[in-house]
Amino acid sequence: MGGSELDGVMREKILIVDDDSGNLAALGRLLSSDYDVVAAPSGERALRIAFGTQQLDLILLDVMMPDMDGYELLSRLREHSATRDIPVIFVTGMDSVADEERGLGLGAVDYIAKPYHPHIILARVHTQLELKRARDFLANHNHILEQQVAARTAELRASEARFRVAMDSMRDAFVILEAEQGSAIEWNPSAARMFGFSREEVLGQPLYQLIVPARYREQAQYGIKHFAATGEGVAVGKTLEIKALHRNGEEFPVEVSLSAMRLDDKNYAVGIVRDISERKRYQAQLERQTNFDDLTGLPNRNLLADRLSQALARCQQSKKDLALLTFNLNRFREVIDSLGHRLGDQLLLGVAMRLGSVGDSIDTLAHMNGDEFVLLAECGETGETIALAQRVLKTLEQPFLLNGRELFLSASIGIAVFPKDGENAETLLKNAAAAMYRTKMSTGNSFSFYSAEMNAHSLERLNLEVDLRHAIERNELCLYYQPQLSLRSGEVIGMEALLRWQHPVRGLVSPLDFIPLAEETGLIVPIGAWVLRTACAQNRAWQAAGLPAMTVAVNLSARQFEAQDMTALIAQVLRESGLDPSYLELELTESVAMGNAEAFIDVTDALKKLGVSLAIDDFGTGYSSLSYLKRFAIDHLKIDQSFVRDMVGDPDSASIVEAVVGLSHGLRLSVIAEGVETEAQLNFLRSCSCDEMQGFYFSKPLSSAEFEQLLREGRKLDLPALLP
Amino acid sequence: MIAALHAVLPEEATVPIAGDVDWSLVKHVLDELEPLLDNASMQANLLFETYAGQLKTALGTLGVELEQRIELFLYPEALETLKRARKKHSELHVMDSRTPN
Repeated sequence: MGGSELDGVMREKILIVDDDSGNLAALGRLLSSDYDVVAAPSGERALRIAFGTQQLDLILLDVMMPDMDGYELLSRLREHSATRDIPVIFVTGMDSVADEERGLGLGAVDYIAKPYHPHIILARVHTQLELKRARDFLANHNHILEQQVAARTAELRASEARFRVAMDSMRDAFVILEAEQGSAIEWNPSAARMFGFSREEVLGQPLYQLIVPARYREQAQYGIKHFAATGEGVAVGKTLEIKALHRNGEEFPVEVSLSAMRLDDKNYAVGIVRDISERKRYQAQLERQTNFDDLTGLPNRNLLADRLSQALARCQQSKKDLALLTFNLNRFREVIDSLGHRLGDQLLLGVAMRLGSVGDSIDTLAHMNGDEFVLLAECGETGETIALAQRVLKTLEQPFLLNGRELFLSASIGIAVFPKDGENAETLLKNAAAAMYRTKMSTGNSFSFYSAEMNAHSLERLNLEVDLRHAIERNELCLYYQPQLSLRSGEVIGMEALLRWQHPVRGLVSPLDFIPLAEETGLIVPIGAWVLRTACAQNRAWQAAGLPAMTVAVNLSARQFEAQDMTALIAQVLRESGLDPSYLELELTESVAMGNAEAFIDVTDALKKLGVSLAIDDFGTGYSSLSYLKRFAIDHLKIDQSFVRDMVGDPDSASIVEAVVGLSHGLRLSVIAEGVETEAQLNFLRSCSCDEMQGFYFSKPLSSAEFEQLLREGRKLDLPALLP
Repeated sequence: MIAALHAVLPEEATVPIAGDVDWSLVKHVLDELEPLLDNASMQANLLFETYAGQLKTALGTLGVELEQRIELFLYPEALETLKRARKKHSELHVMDSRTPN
C-alpha cells in the first residue's frame, strides 16, 4: 500500500488530476483529512508523479484537459507495469453514457459525473481503496504463497536430487513398478547394468519378460494385477530368489525384495534386486568342497554319509540288501614313496575313473582318505555282491600307465551287508573296514565278508598300535644280532641288527606283526632312528671292549627316506656313537632302490661319501634294472632267503642263486645269502662262490649279551671240504 | 506533524505581521514546505495557507509568487521560487547550515 505515515497511521495516497485549480482545491480539501493527497494540474505532471517514487493508491482524474486528456493519461498509465494496477476514477463534467463507457472501457474503476456530491466522492473513494486493499492483500498473499510454493518446489527438487543420487549410487537394482500396467517408472543405473536395458528403454514398459522361467511371468502378471486392485500381494514384504534374464539372453540368479507404496490412490511396487551370481557360485563351490573330493570329483565322506542314510532308508522299505564295499590299494604307500605324491594322485584319479565303469548296480562310489574308496550297491543276493567285488578287483588288475611305465595294482576289499552286518551307517562302515583289514592281513587282492570276530581283530590291532607308540619310551624295544660269516674262512665278519619288541604282556612280538603296523602308522621313522643309534652304539661299545671289529648291518625303510634327511641322520649317529663308518652297512630293499632309481643314485652317492657300505636286501624278490644296478654305489647284494630255502631241491631257485652270484661278481659286488639252515645249502652256496652267509645253520639272531659271548668265545664255522 | 507545528507556532499566525520577521519560523516552515512541494502534496497548500502572512512578509514578492504558484498547484515552479527565496534572504542562508530534513 502506497500511503504515507502521519502520526503513526498509514494513510493512503490519492493523486487528483485536474486542469482546474479550483476543482483540485475543492477535491483536495475534501480528501485531505483522511488521505494523503497529491495534486497535478495536467496530464504530463500526473505522469511524472505516477512514474516517480511515490506509491499511489488511487487516482481521481478529470477527462477534459488541454494537451493530454484523461483518456490518454489512463491509457499511458495502463501501459506501464508500475502504474497499470492503480485504480482510476474519472471525475468529470462529461456525463454521457458513451463517455462513461469509454472511460470504463479504458480500465477506469469508476466514473463520477460533476457536479458531484462530496459524500458520493468520499464513499466511492473509500470503496475503491477498500477494494484495492483487498486486492493488495490478495496479491501479497499470492506472493507469499508463490514464495512458499517456490521454496517447497526447491525442497522437492533437492529431495529428488538426493533420491536420484542415492538411487544412482546403489549397488543393487532399484525398480518401481506402477501396478496397474505393471510398467516401470523407476530404473536406476545398477538395474541398467544388471539387465542390459537402459532407463529410457525400460520406463513405461512391463518387466515380465525379465523373469524366467516363462511360467513365473504369468504368476507375476497375475500377482501385480491383484496388487493393483488390492494393494496386497504374496510377494510384498518378502525376499525372493528367482532367475532373471539379461538382454544378452543369459540367465542369472537374483534376490528380489518387494515393498508396497501407495501414492495418489495408486499402488506401486518398489523392488530392490540383487545379483547373487557370485554368492551362488560360492555356495556351489562350498557345496562341492563339502560333498565332493577335490582330486577325483567323487562324493567324499560327508556326501557318502548322506547317500548311505538314503540308501538304508530305501532298502529298509524295499527289504533289499545293501552291500557296502570298503577297499584300499595294496602297496599304495610304496607307490607314493617311490613315485611321489603327484603321480600318486594321478594313480588315484585313474582308479576313480576305472571304478566309475564297474557297473550300473553301484549306487554310490565315494573317495574317503588317501587310497580308500567305498562302494554302495543294492544287491539281491550274496552272489551279486561277490560278482561286484570281483569286478572291482579285475578292473584294477589291468596295469596303469604312469610316467611311461606300467604299474600293477591290487586292492583289499572288505564287505558289510545291511541288515545282516549292521543296521546303521556307522556300524556298516566300521565292519566293512574290519573286513578290509582282514583281507589285507591275509592274502590281499581279494575280498572278505565281515564276520563278528573281525571286530575283535581290529580292536587287537588298535591296541597294538597304541602299545607300539609307547614302546620306545618304555624301553620295550631291543636289538638282536645275527652273525654274518665268510664262506671262505668260516669266521664271523659281521652281524645284522634285527628289531624285537619285548611286550610286557604279549611277550616277544614278532617283527612280522608289528613292522607292517609301524610302516603303516609312520612309527617306523622314530623306531628306525632308534635302531640305527642303538646298533652303532653297541658295535662301538664292543669294539671299545676289545672285541673284534666288524660291520653291523641295519635295515632302512623307504618311509625313513621320505620323512627325513637320512644322510644327515646317519652322519649324526656316526658322530654321536664314534663308530667308524666302515663298520656300518645299510640294507635297503630292492623296491626302495628301484622305485625312484635316479633319486636313489643320488642318495647312495651321498651315503657312500660318509664311508658306510650299502647292501640291497631281499634281492630277487622285486624287479631290478641291471643298468641301474651298475650305477648304484652299493657294495653287497643279499640273496632273498626264499631262493636259498629252495635252491637245493628247485633247479630254478638254484639257477637264480647262481646267476645272482655271477652277476654280483661281474659288477664287483660281494654276495651274502640269508636264511641258510642246512649243510646242503651251505655247500651249494660255497660251490657257486657265494661270499657270505647268515642263518640258523650257524646261529639264530642273538641278544646282545649272547652275541657278545659268541664274539668272546671266537666261535667260527668249520667249513667242510668241498666235494669236487 | 501539523499538530506539532501548531504547538510551536504563535496563535493568529495567518494574520500578516508588519513588524519584525521571525526568520526562525520562516525557515522552519520553508523546510517543511520544500519536501511537500517536491512530492506535489496538497499539504503544501494547507501549510502555506496557515503561514501565508509571515511568509509573504518575510519573502516579499517572492512570497507572493510562491503563494500564487501553490494555489495553482504548480508545485515544481513553487519549489523553484522557494529555492530562490532561500538564496535571496541571508537569514535563511545562515540558518541553512543546519542539518537538512
